[in-house]
Amino acid sequence: MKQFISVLLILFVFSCKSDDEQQEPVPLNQSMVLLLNEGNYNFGNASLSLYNEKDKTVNHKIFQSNNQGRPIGDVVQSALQIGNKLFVVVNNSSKIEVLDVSDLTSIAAIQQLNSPRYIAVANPNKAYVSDLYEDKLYVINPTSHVVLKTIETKGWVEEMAIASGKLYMTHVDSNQVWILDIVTDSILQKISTHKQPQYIEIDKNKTAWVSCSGGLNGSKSALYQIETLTDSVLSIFEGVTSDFKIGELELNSTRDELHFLGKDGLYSMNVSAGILADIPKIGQGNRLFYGFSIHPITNEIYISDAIDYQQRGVVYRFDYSGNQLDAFKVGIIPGDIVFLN
Amino acid sequence: MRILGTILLLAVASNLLSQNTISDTVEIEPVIVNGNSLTTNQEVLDSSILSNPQHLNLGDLLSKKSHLFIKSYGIGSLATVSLRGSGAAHTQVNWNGISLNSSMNGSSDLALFPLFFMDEVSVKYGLNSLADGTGGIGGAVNISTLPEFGKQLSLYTSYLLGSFGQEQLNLKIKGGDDKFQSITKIIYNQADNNFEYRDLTTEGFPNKRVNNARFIQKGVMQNLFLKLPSNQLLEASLWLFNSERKLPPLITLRNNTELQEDLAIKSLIKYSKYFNSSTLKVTSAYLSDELNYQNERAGIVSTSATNSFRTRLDYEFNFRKIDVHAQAKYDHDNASADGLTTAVNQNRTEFYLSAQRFIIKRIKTSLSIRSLNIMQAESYLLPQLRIDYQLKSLNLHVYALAGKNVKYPSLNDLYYVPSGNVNLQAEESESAEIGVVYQRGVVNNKLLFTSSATLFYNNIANFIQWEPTAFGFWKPTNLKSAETMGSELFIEVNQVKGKIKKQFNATYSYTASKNYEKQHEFDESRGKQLIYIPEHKGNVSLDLEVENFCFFMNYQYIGIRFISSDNEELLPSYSLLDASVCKSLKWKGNSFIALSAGVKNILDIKYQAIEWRPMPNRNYFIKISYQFKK
Repeated sequence: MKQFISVLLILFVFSCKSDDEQQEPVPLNQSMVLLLNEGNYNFGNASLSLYNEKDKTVNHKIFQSNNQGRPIGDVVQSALQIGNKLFVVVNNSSKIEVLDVSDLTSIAAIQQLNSPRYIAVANPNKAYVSDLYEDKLYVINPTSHVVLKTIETKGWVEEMAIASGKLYMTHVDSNQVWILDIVTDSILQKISTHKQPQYIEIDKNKTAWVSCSGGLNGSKSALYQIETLTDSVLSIFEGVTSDFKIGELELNSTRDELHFLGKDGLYSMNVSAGILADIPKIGQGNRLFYGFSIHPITNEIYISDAIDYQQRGVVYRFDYSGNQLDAFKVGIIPGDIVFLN
Repeated sequence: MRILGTILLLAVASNLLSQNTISDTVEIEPVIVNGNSLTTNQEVLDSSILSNPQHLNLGDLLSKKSHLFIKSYGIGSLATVSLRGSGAAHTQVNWNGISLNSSMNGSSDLALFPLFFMDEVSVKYGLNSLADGTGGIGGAVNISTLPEFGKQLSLYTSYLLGSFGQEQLNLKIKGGDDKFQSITKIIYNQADNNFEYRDLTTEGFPNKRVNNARFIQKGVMQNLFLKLPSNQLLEASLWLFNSERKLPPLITLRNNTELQEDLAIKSLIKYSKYFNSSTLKVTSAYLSDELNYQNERAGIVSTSATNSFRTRLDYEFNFRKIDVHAQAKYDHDNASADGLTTAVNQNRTEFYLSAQRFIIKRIKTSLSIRSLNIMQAESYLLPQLRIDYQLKSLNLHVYALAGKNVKYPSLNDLYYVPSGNVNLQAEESESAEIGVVYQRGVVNNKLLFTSSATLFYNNIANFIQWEPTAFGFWKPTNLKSAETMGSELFIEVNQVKGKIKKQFNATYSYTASKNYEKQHEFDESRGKQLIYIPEHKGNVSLDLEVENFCFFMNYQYIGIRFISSDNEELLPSYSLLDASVCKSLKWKGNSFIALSAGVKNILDIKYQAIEWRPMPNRNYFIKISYQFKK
């Protein structure tokens, strides 16, 4: 019996661990790039990584470090800097964390949300938040961090963009682009698209580019070019084959070259090209491109790679011609990339 | 012979003592079963263990009494099993020889299997599961309902009251004679599960209570056994079960209201004929499962239903000193769900032939081959070789085996809309195992010492994994190959002296379950432990019975579990200490009454089996049982 109790005690001593371990806050400098690591859905392992462009160092779990060890939540979907605040959309935790850009400490959390996805800002006191489940668009005040009102959408709205005094939203469930007057918040027009419009960007000519994934039943992907003054469809570029998927969109610093994630890597095309790019600018190879962003000043291209979705992913940094400059490890499932200023 | 004498002595004594503690079933002889089982590398847990109120359900029991690792999402929540480092779909759960694994997702939720419905549970590790069918790459858990012939009417009922609103009511009525038996079992189980936890995700780390975790389980089982002339036995079982459970959210989620309802009808007919030197068994089952899922936040209401007809025929005979086992199986599965555009059907046939004989004195070889055929299209041949050596002078039994197994993709893997992948390949394993069993009885001290050690190796090719994509959906792929290897140690000491019965039991398993493929230069998962598979797991338990008093203590240790494939993230190890006491009394005439009380997680360890899912802190229960026999 004594031996039995001894075994128990030894096992107990070796198995006790403190759950209060905290990391030191990490100070922020200029030239910082924030990597949003989505984490696995329902695993609660989302995180933020901070890349210093000058000394090429990476700080992992920066939110946790700078907020008393608290994790950021479940599925960090997107983020937008508005003035000195960073609005981080934590999709499955139903919140937007509002961070001070100077040190990434939490100022507030906007909690009255369901499954938020993206933010588009109309003015310092008005921004729109799309939602996966709520069938509504939230109108929030980025200054007071409150939800001002909601707008009926009757379905899932994904990415949004503002141009010519209007909000353009990709309405996934209805396969349409909805256009909203940002003064009256009334729906002006709905433009039908291919299946599942998800991403949208506005180029230098105030033309909206919308990518449609094509859904999942063998339908083709497509890229829509919509003129925002008249809201007419200028062009539709359809994928050559049904497996040529068009995903996330980004523009370069002069907003005249459109880049998109596709079947074999990252593609780019001039906004006036009139033809869909079909040869990747940066080939994917055996990598797994998951998200990307283009630096608004240097035009460097950052592409995230989720590897196997179960380990810390990697972000590749390329010059604008597509030559790889370096690569660094970040958190689990890196998605969106935000350049802090 | 001395060992056999000791075993019999212990078995009889333990049986007598079991009657004092009015286990609902007393006819099983645990020590004998355990002694036999080790030579075929399976653990057998009898009714005296199953009736211990410390064990809430099958998952809870197996996590304490076997080498299995149970990945539990909380009390009453989803509990999947990992055996020898394999995945949840790599363990078969069989009921009287019929697989209960879902044809939709390939796995079993052990939280939905009440222990009260089982008379015996055994675990077959690795290739040993192949005798019952394919798919058990890690092994198989076998649930049995057994006849209890005898001219007796008995009634057993118990009521358990525990922390966090737990209530459990069991009722068993048995009647019949030497030729016919009817056994009816009814269960009702509920819990609020609103235990307190420290919220490490909220500023200030406040204490909160788990919400949305209530569950209710209701079930009825009817077993009929009929002895027919000329050594024939006919069995019929019906198992009805309903579970309603709220699914508690991760603590990183602010609000999430998910509800899952499971409805199961399991029916089975078995015919056995015992000839002079052969046995014929035919088992047929109809299984119907319905799962209703609601997610209020996402506005999701979905239903999936499966209907399966599964049958097997076993014929065992001896031919020129060769023990032959021939088996044929046919399964028809039908599934319909919101995630499937149309109802899906799948037919599987399996044939199995095994031959065993002593090639020289004390060395026995067995050779077997199993075939699997899916929809008359794909087929697999799975050979297996086993050698046993008995070294009686040292009380040692040594064995080695090697062979192949296969796990065919589930219907969800293949056909789930939008991303089911009909091009998936079956997961195929190549395994080898060696083991040694030492067993020694000391008649004068009325003591039986048993120990075993096993080393295993398993290579699983075409590991199926569901992955998100950049286009907003998840897709299953044959991603990696994995190697698992490890060892299992088992020690048990039984002693029965006068009115005192002692049992000390210890298990330890080491499991290295690793991926050896690298996707590209930044993939750091190569050579690393697979996620949520503990390398170290151990258990120590002590049972004491003195006349009509009993004491039980169990200590469980679960080592760290990595939660990222590069092993950069982990959950800390934890250990749980449980204890209980019981006292039984003869009441009036043939009536017995027993009281038991226990504490779980005595050390009040704060732990997470799954990241951000808190588990119960220290909690208590009391139970009262009544048994009447006529």
